[in-house]
Amino acid sequence: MKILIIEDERELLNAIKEYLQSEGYLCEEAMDLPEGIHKIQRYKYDCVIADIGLPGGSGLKLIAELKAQQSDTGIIIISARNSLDDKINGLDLGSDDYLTKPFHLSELNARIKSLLRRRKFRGNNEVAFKEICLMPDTLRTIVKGSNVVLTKKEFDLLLYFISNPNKVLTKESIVEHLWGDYMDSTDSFDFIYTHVSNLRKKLIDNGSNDYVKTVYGVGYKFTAE
Amino acid sequence: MRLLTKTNLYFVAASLVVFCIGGVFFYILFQLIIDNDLTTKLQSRKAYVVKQITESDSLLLYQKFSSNTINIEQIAAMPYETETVSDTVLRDDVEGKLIGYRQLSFYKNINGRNYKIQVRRMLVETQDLIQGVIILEAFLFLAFVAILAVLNNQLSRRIWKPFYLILETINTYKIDHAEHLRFSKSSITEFSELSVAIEKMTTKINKEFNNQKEFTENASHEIQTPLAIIKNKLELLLQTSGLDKDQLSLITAASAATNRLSKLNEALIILAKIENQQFHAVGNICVNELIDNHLSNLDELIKIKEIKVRKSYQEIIYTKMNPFLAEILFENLIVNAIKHNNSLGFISITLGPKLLIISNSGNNPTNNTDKIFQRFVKGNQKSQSLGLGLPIVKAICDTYLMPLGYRFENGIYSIELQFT
Repeated sequence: MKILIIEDERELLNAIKEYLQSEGYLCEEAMDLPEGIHKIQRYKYDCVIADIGLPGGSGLKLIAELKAQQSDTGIIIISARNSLDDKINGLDLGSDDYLTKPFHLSELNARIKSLLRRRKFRGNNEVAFKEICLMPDTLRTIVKGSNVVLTKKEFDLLLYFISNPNKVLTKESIVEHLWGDYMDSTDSFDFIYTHVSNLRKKLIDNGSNDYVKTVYGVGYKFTAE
Repeated sequence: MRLLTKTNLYFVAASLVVFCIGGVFFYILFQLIIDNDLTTKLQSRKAYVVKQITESDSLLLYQKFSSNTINIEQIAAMPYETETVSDTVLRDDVEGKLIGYRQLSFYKNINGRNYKIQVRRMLVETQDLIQGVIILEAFLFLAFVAILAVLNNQLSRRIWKPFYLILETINTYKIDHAEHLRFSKSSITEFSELSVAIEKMTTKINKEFNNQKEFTENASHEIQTPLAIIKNKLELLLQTSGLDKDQLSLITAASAATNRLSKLNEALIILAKIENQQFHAVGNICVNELIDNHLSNLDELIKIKEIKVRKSYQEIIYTKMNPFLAEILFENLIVNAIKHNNSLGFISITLGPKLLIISNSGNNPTNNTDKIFQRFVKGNQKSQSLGLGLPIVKAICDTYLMPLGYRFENGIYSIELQFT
């Protein structure tokens, strides 16, 4: 999978790149709009991550460029501006997703995976981790051939874990992923604990190994190691 | 009170003084003219009487001829004085009233005889004169006021027209709209100067406002980017292997602070945008629906605190608001009621005619509740909240001129919001 990251802030670009590379993506970078356009004209990417405020113009122009090429490249807009106008504008023009800075890298990664699933497999897809198999369209979970009944939140949580395997996921990032901005951290940490332990129990009861590791004081890690 | 009405009142007051003084002068002047006239008339009568006596002897048959207007007497010797003018009062023969006369007395030797002759003319009564003057003055005054009123009406329609146009333009002026104010030309110097001054001023304000707006946007952008870097680097640091507990807790603390800072920044940007009235789009919002949505979104939070929600919807309320602001408004109100609640507490939501009351149980506030809508003021200083939720609610309510009230009584917090 090839991803183009267009971001003018060097350190942010590096951080995104490092995280995505550790996920096994092939990452290329561009630091301004002309370079970005040049690259999408020349090469084919599975996904483009573009900042809105770029030297040389708005990252929204890339959407039009990709549309003109009738490419099936997914595009995620990242912006420091949490303005509704930009969000609607970006999604209207045909961006697949919109993330506001600052975001969690694990969140970006989960969004990329979801986007690629939708784009590449036209939604008919399964997400698998060892003996666990998730079907995001039907919200079904199968462990070793048998159906596990999960709540919506538990399903989302498991999908988020599997999207970021072997990564330490902070409680904040999980809260934001599951509930958006609604929750203020302290209260909500309690019910992450509840959700995680319920999920764990259901998976183990259905014959799965326990992949959820608690990272003391920080959050959780989903790993087979 | 309109400017013209005000000036007119002064005009009328001033003219009243002028008319009074004028009345006195009128009176004196009339008196003088009448006096003068009387004297002239008496003189001509004197000449006439003398002529009559001289030419006709018939009058001389009488020793004495007397009426109210003339009195002729033969006298033996001529006194020293010859002519006097005096006022006298005589009884009217017919009506029996006392009437004032001016009389001219003189002595004359005619055809060898000495005569004392008095000619008289009736005086105009002072009372009559004053009455006349007052009637005249009153009539003039009324005419003056009437003309003034008509004139003002015309003036305000014609001359003041540009002024009212300017006023209308300023009233509809929105600071965050890009277009500049333009006024039609006026032939009146003051008004054209005023419109030029306002044009200049608004252009400048517009420029400053845009600068400010740009600054706010840019500042937020500039702050969010380093925050994003810190947040992402910390996340990468977390992924490195071999971290011990102390290091993990350092990273977690730094990460939590970064989150808080970024939320604070976002809230401040929203607040600035609301106060700069940058949310234009208006939708028809169903309050009941929106509240129910937020309640179901926050269901877990409500359940974990074991809070009872009591709803009493007596009305279905629609209000015209920006949809984004409506989301924030009701979300903040409900989140606030949950956050500052006790476990096993309650939230009561009442929707009455154009009225929303959200009450919740909670601990006694440690801070003064009067300042609850001010920024960074928290009911409880120890709480983790940003202290910006209610100020945002307040700012939104102010934007839509919705009255907002807050009460704490017997352990129950109530927020009351009226729809307009």
